[in-house]
Amino acid sequence: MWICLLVNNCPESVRLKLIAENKSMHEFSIIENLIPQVEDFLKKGNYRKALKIFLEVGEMSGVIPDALAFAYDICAKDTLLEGTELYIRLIPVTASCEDCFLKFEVHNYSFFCPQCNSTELKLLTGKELKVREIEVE
Amino acid sequence: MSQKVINLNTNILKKNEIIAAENRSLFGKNRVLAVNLLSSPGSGKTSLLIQTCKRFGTKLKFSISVGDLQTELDAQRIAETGVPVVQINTGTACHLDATMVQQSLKALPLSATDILFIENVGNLVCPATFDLGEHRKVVMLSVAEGEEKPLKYPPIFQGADCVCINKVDLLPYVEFDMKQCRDNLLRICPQAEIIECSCKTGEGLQQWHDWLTHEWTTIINTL
Repeated sequence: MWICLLVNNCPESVRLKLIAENKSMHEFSIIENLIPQVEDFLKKGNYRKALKIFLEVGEMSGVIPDALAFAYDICAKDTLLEGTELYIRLIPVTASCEDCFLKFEVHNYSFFCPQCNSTELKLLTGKELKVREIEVE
Repeated sequence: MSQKVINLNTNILKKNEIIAAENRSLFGKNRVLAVNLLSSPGSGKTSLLIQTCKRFGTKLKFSISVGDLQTELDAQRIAETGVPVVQINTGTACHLDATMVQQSLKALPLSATDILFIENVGNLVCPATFDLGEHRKVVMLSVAEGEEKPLKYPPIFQGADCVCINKVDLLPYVEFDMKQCRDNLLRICPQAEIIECSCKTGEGLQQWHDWLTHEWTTIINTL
């Protein structure tokens, strides 16, 4: 929920202060996006519960799997995901070269083609934050 | 009880993606270039915006959304330039997300704006995850932070369209290897424009203005 406060009236500019009531830290805010999505899926499909949930987290997503698991343990309490086992797969960074079309895994965040040294790359994987699968009953 | 495995393949941040797309669409309708400005706390984001407004505010029309955990100090400083500005306080959230930005846009005159700057929360990790609907990402670092910064925080630098290396007026007083920093950036984000600048002396700010103008022209021609 957002609260907007008019701070000061100023002829040149109007300033509004938006205060977020969401006080989550990074991985917590990821999980707080995840849980309603999965709960919604379970309700719509009339599933009794989720037994296992499989996530894919890209190496360059900015999310730490351990921290995500920690946040999940806390946030899943008193939701339909309480007791659901969480599995996280880390996805490596891969790219394709726009010049020689080589597809390769990016090592040490070196973003140039190992074959032709081109820097014209298209990122293929490494930034994912996905729910891949869910085991339900 | 029968059990089955269902393939979902959905983005966890789907809601944020949808809002980011709405933001992007709104920017398009109003012919606005949206720039997400990112850095550690203290690299000079607010100073860069203040100098941009003061020096180039007659050439381009700016609006600004500023994100901080608490206070409206940055917005107050920017407001003194006369540019429309909104302060977003995230509480304890370490990043802006698309919903926060969307709320802030309601208070800004987008139809009379050429470039919207979104000054993100000072943080080189978490903001990399959240699309705000921007067209361009600008990452700042200052010479006081060390030339290894891009190597230590690759996700955020990899997504940069422009990197501003700020506070170059301090180079005589700090141990900072500019060539090494540029080489590091070339490895992580070879496509990014690199600008060495000082918000104190004005060095590099004309290059910054030229880059902004070029990007604004490019985006406007695609809308």
